Amino acid sequence: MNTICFHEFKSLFKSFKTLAIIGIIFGSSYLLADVMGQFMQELGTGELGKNAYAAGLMILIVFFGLFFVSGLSHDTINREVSSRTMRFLVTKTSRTKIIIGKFMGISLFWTLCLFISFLLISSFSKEFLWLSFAESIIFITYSISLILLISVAFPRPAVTMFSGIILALLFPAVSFWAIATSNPLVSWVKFLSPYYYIYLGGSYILMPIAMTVLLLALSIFLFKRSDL
Amino acid sequence: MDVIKTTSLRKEFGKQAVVNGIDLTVKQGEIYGFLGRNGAGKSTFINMLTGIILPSGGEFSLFSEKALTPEIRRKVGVLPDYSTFYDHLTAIQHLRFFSSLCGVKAGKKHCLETLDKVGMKEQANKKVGKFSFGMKKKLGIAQSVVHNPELIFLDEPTSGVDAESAIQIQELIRELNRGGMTIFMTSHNLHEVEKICTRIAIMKKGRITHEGTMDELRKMHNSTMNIKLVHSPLASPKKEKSYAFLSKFSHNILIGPTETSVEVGTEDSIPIIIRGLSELGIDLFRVTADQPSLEEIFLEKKGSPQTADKMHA
Repeated sequence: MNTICFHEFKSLFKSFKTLAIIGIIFGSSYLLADVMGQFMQELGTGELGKNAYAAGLMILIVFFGLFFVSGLSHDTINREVSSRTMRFLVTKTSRTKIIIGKFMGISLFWTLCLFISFLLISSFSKEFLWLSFAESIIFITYSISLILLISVAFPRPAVTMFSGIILALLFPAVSFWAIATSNPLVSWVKFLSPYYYIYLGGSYILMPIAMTVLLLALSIFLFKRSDL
Repeated sequence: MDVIKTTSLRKEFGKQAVVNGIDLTVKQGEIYGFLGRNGAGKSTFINMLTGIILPSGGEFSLFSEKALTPEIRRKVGVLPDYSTFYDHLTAIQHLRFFSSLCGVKAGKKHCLETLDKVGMKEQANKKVGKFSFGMKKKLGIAQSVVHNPELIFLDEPTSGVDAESAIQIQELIRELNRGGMTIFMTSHNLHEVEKICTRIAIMKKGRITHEGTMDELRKMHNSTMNIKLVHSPLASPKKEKSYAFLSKFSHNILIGPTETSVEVGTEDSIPIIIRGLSELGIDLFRVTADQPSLEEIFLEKKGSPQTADKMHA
């Protein structure tokens, strides 16, 4: 499991993607902070309300986190299945360890990218935004587990690239619609969305963690039943 | 000890049965050859035993274990039918990565020794993206043995490699087997299977049609053996006596002035014939016996019925 984790982490971290991700997060958060500064009162008394940089970062992660994760890791499983490198992996370790190892590797990559971005932002905000950092990690790990599930469910990387983009665009829109509407036909969707629990805050933030575990279990279940 | 045991193992893709109820036992120390044409189900069979695909029915055990536990995976090495690697990693990085997956920490020295066995030591630090098909095949074999398994599955180990490398791989297989490793291999190369396998199964349309050692297959082949005798010139009385003597063994006798050919059922007749002709005062200069090759058996069996006709040692 650790071997796969570090292999995945290294293959993501070695490329130009890392610098690009850190640059995008840092640059966008910095620019968004200017805009968010005008809405500080509406954002309440938490870290978001006090710090425009925290608000800028969270907006970026919440709206585009799934998009970034999908862009980098939509084919993390099916690419190896279609190129047949997966055949080497499954003969040497269990399928459960492959899924968990991949999840951990991608999570480690994002944790490091976010940490560096938050560290850079802290030079402007004059404090490290721990709460926002933790919420970002929770949301990103949820996104990783969702993208892993898609990568297991669809065998072709071209399909997951397309479906990942569609999902990344639709998912936040539908989630916020479900949170805002009183229409019972739509509003139930909010319970399936991590956005609702991040919006509620407090201990509800643990719900996306449970959903992450559930999605991972579903990925393992599907992966164990597939021919490679 | 049974290293591999399958019972009614089956794999269906849709309504098509690719592997159709295979019962097979491979004992420790064997080099077991699986022979069949494209689409016969050889790779599917190996893929089920190694966890790449899931059986539709039946069961199998490796080292008497029905599940592919981490301990069993450590004992097994696999060369799948298509060897694709990570282009950005070097040969030695691959070996370290794969052995680490099995829970074995292979040092640089051991990895280099393994690469040396397949003639790839000089390519140890080159990225696999630049490797030819043959080099990837050799690396595939190296990764299958780097963690010192007790059993290796080799799916077409010499296909796509040059003749010299094929001989090197065949020699490696023999060497591994001499070291106690059990080998289960598939091949299209009949000559190769005949040369190195201690036991052979012929597979057709998902079933084993014939199984046994080379000698057993020859016996099952039910063919005759052609003996050619080069001798001193035969005068008329000796010729008649020779014919009378050889008629005890065969109805197909062709006696020439200095060469005679006889078709016999078994090789047991050869020493009796030699002794008998010598007693008749015929000087024998050369005796050759042609047995049917695996290719001849395989080609004959291709049209045989789909019933399992196995012969156990």
